[in-house]
Amino acid sequence: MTKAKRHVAVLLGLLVAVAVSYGAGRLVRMAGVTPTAAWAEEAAPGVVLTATAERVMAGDREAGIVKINGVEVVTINASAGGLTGYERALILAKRLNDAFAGGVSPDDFRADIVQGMNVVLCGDKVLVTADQGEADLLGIQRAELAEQWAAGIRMGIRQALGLPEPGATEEAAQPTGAGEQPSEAGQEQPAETAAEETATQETQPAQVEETATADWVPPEPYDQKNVPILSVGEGIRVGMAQVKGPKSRVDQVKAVALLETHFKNTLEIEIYVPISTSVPGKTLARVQGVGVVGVAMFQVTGRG
Amino acid sequence: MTGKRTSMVLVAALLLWAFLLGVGTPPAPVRGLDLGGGLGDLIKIFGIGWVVTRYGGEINNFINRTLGQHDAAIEGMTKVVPVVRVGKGGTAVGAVQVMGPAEQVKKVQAVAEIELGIGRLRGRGLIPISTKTAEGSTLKGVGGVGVSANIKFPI
Repeated sequence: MTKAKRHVAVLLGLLVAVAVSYGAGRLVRMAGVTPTAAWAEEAAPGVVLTATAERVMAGDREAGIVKINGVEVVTINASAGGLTGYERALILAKRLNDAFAGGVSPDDFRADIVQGMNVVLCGDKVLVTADQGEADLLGIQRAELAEQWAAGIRMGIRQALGLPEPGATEEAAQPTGAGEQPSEAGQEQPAETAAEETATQETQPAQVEETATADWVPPEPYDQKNVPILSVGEGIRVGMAQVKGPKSRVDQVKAVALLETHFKNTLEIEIYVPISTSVPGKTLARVQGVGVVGVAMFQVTGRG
Repeated sequence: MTGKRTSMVLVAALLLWAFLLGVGTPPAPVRGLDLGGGLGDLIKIFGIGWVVTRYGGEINNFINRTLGQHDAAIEGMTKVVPVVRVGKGGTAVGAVQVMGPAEQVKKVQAVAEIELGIGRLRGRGLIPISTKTAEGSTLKGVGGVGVSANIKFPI
């Protein structure tokens, strides 16, 4: 073998060895040695962010405390949109966990104004609305409340991940002026309850019309209605569904239970179960023969 | 001899660097894409339609098993079909499981997605159709069939 060929062989061997080493490193990462649920470049290895909601009673008021890895980050005292503070806290905790699952950094969480409401965003997704009732309880402006909540979430994530505090910039910012405070709309509707189950069914695009196939006659007339979507386990409203089926069956449907699962750890699957109870139980009281024909989740952005 | 030892050290350092690079490379921001080449990569390469054709039956069985575990099994037939947008050709933008009488479910080729107002919310209307595309001014829906699960693809 010539010297040149020997050099080429050594180089190729080296490249293979480097590739194998890199692959081994990837395998180690996938085995869970390093954080996967919430990635931050400076994060402490092995830390997984988890948001929880705790119920506390303040007199006859049901309030909720949202914690990130045990650190209290947001307290919601006021009811809004028909939800108690605790129910709103549950929704916020769920949205935080959804955000954590996608990978976040503390700076993703910020206060902003969306559709005239002071809200806390993660990226472009609304997490919670800083409502007037809560602001009044604390004697502050809604913009300030949103800033405080966003700062609390950032602080909780930094503490959980062992990241340094950025200093003065992390202090609850004061509203910079009237421009940050949307007008008192009167019909303020928090993001957690951005829709009510007023069962109106308007707004079909004009160019689309559903027609039944002529060669199939249903055993009885079909009907449809709108019902809330309730997450199984928490039992909280996460959206609205339009269900359709034989009229006698549709009449029995009180809600759609939402089961969430994953296929091969890749595909997120939302299973809709029309149920005859207002709250999903341990076993779901499925109403057979009824299917979902429309879905709207409470998230402001993203596909349902 | 010293030169050989130096080379060995350099090679060892190079291999260590490659290993640490593998460990330290962060996952993709969307969960599900970083699967070490599995379904996530197939979706990216071949598209949702192909994945639905290839794995639809398996996904359908998986959903039905999950429902069975909650004592909420569906009476009637189910299958997984792609979701297409009205007027956007036959490109799949998602997939759903549909359910209903067997003779009707067999006719369903896809589910057309339209914009729908549900109460005050803007949402997705899902119309089971007997064609693979949703073109034209009128959709021919397949009666008696509804959606029982939504399958989200990491794209």
